[in-house]
Amino acid sequence: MDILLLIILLGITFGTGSIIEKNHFKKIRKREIALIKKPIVNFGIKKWDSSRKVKSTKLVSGEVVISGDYFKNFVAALKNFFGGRLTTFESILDRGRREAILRMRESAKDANIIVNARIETMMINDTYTGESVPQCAIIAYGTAITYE
Amino acid sequence: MNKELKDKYLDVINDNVNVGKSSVCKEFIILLAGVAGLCFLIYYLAGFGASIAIDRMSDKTQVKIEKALSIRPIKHKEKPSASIQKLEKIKPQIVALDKKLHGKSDFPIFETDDKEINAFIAPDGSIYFTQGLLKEIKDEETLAFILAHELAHYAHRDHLKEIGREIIAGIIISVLTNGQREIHGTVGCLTELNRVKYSQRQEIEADLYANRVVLKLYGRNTGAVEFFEFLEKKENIPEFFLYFSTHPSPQKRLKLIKNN
Repeated sequence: MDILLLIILLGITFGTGSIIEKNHFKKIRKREIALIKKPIVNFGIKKWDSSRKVKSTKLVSGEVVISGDYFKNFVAALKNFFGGRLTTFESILDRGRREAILRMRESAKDANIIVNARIETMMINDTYTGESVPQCAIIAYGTAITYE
Repeated sequence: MNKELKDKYLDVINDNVNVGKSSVCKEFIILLAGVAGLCFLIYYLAGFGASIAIDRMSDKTQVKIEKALSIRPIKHKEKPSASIQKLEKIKPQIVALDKKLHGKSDFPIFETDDKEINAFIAPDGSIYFTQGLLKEIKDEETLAFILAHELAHYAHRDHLKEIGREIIAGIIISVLTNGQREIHGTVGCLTELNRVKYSQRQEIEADLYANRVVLKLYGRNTGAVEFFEFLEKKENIPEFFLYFSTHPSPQKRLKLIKNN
């Protein structure tokens, strides 16, 4: 009985998880292409040299909390035993990171450049108990600059 | 933004290097096969180890362990029915045939209130027949076969082997997985099938033992054949599902009894 329940649960979550992920990636790609021209995100230098006059500066941020589905967590737990790349989590982290950057950029649509952008991640669940599923919060923030 | 740069960005968006390209499903199957292989190996080795240890165990230790395991009494009817009295009369004849059954337990026989057709033996040697079974089966030879089958489990120390194997395998798996929930769940599910298969082998051995006993007592095994024919009619389950059952299919058991 247990094994049947497990198979059903894995089958359902694999199906739903794949559909959700595929749709999410599709949306992300569409939004990234729409935002391809501006604002430019600058992750590297803290000082940037510009001869143009600055109209306004603003702190912009994009946050996202993302979790893996039952199937992905299950595969990752098995992988944890044998070791190796957790490929199921790679896609989750990638989706989260890109979504956070997109949200940050979308909140600064009028700006010309976002300088000093940073990405931070943290686990929002209690990872020590082992009872909860991995949930990751990703925050992207930076200073949006609009020229005159 | 010039076209070349735009194309470069589009390439980055469309060709994502941060996500693994391998199929998750394929990875899952490989991992599952790995876990399955590992736990089957652990269980077989544990079963092998437990069997050797239990077979070498002295009768005194066996009785001691069985007493410790039988703390919780099983609910049964107080007044013995006519069938139970019949079984009590056959019992000494069966026990007398095997030295392994001497001086360990009195093998008291009880009737439970369950409606399903079943009989089982507790670790302390108490034998339980369900009400459903006694209602359907009245023939003395058939009842003797079932009783001998249960006593065979005791004589083969099947219950102790099962417990021993679970303990050994449980310890090894706990150490290996470090108490990880998912791994434990998977291993539990996979070994359920394995355990069942192990039980089926024990059941076949018990059937053969019981068959030998009834042949010695009555000179024929018609009771056993009738019992499996009755089970075959009663349990109309496809053969495939019986892999998950603790007992082999009645067809298989009937064939085995007829051939011996």
